[in-house]
Amino acid sequence: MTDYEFVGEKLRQKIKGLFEIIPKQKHVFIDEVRCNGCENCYIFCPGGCFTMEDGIAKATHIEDFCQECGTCAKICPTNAITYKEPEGGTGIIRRFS
Amino acid sequence: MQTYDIVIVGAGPAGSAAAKIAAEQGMKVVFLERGNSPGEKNASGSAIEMHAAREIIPDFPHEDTPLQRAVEGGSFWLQSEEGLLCLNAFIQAWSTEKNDVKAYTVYRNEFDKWWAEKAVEAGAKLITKTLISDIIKENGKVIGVQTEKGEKFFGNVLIGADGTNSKVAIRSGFRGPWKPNEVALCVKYDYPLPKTTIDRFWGGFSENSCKLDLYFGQSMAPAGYLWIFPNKESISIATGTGLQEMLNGGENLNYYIHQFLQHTILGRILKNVKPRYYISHEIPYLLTYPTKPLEVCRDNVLIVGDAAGSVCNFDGEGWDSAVIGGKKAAEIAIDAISDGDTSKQSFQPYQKWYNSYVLSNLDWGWRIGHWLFNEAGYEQLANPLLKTFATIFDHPHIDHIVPSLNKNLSQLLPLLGTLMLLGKLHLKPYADLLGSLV
Repeated sequence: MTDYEFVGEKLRQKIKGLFEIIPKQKHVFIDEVRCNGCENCYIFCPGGCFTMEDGIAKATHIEDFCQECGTCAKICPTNAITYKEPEGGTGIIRRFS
Repeated sequence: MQTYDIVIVGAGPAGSAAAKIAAEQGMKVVFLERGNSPGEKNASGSAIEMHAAREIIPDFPHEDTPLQRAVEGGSFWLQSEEGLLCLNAFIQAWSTEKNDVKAYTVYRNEFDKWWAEKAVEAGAKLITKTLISDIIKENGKVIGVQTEKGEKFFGNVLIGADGTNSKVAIRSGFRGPWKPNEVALCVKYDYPLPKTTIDRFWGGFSENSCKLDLYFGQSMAPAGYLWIFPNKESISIATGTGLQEMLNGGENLNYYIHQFLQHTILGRILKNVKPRYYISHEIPYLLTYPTKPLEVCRDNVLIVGDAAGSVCNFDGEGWDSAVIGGKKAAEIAIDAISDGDTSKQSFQPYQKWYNSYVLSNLDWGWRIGHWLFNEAGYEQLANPLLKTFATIFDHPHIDHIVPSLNKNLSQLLPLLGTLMLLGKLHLKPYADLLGSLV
């Protein structure tokens, strides 16, 4: 039973301001034709980067919340998600890791 | 176009170790890092082991090494329906003398930067803010890498030390991306706390020392564990679990951290304390039985560390095997280059090292992990002891306590058999290894 308190927008509110990101271009993409609406990316993304719209996942907060783990692409059952690392010198900076 | 003896992708523990060892032997080495500085993209528990650090820097640690606390022991918390059982382990050898310290907690951002500087001081060239886009092949063999900005780096040997999502490993054909049953996701919060509070709850015997807390239980991590690593003036609370187990009815990892803070004393210690940092990271965590070693060398290319999946699939520890693997890869690459033969065949000593060191770790890790997670070993261990304690509290009279001890503790006997069997099986890879040496 998914606890939606720790997913998507609600998760983003909890972790907002707790990391640094150098502005970057979008680097995670969803093939909307392949997406079957399973919600895996939406539920498990540790950055809360995904939003469900009309039963289709949208990568709405990659630029400002992506933690660069690559989990989204691995847990997508239809391989609809492409994960790339962001351009060198951009993206997440980890200070107390 | 730039030509080197050895091109290394990644300036993490393995990449920097390989770069230092190779540069010390007079090799022309470059190592490429996608962050602004080494360590910026890295994350772990995070502790480092002395035995591995000293393979690279014999007089480790130096005065200026950014360390947090010396690890003197650990507490293992086992959750069952009866409650939480805590086993405290303070190991004598882990305390008192500086030379006896087995591990230190660190901030990887600070530590990895220092670690890479040692390679630069040895003469390796570090290039930051550089992400590779692909490997370059000629006649089917790897001869270098290309960056996203179109720069090309050619080398006799390429070492892929570029982490879990390694482009070198995937593009060179070693493996596809890891599958959900081959990786774990971890999330971690850093909470600032006064030094005195940390000393009180997690302090060891000497100044700036600590014990680690490891929590095993379904409500903390379905397949993996939750941990607390103390630093000088902060603690890390983290949890990690295999992706496949997370998919099989698990929750977003933040849920487990929240539950933990709600239901344990940590919630009280951290009342009114705001976390100052949030980190999440994915590591290889091969939860299928390792029947066959991963291929880690091909013509002109070797993979090390997380790229090569060299992480124990029980405790998730990969720093030591990454560092030692980086050293082995560099040494074998140097030999191959001086012999003028950088074929897969010439790299076989590295594959052999991997099979013995990493695979035996995986074999052991799988057995313990399988027993703990799939057969809920932590419950089997915790239940009889917790039931005994419960009896003592309920009926503090010897007439009740003795039969209870008899009844409950006798349940531990078959368990001891299981543990001994695990121990015996654990010896098998070493027996095989000895057999192959004779």
